[in-house]
Amino acid sequence: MMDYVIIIITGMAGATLTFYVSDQLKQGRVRASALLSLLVSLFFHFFPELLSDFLTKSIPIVFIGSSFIGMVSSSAKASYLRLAVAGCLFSIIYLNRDQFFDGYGGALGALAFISLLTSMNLSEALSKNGNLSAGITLIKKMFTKSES
Amino acid sequence: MICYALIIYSGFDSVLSAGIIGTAASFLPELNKQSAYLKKMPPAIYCGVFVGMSSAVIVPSVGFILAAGILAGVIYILSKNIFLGMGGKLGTMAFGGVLLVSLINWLL
Repeated sequence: MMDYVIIIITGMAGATLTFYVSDQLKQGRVRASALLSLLVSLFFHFFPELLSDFLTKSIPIVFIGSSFIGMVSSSAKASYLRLAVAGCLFSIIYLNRDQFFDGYGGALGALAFISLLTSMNLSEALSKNGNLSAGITLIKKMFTKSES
Repeated sequence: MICYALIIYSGFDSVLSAGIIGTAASFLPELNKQSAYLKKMPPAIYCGVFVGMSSAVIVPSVGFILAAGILAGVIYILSKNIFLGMGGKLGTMAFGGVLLVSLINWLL
């Protein structure tokens, strides 16, 4: 259980840190993703015994995958919350992925793309002007009316 | 191909190899800041790096990687104006290239 929590936190950190480095520190998207992933993988390359085998293998992979989410351009209406949600989604998808994706280059990127699209569409749907939030508000009113 | 070679011959894992090459590629525009061509190279190289991250089980030869890289490049050019600025697009294109070559390899 703790391992899964660490993986989810890694996913969120990868997405938000990469976006921060590329957007706020103006390092560019490729450099932000590659450099941060390099640092994380070097850390586990030199200290493989620090955590369990599962975490030592998975953290660099989840980090680089979620860093692809952080490579989103700032013009694409990305906020840190959306990226954190996308990173969390990515980690969950990664933990439950089918063995089909194993060994295929770019599979992590495809999963990251799906996570980011899902997160952004979810936030658009739940935004104040969205039909979904209007529906939820209506249902809430129905229940509060029936209680009173 | 460099990423694939690093994984196979130096024993680095895929993330480390991708990080090394991606970081090196990100400094290419610094060689000539006036060059628009060099500015466009890092994302294309990073896309190729993702192709090279394929495991040796899926990718039986260097020719496979070359073909997958070329296909990923074609997809990259064709999808230039789609999903602009979206994260994960490069990886998806690399995945598409590897998947297509795997399919062709399986059919043949």
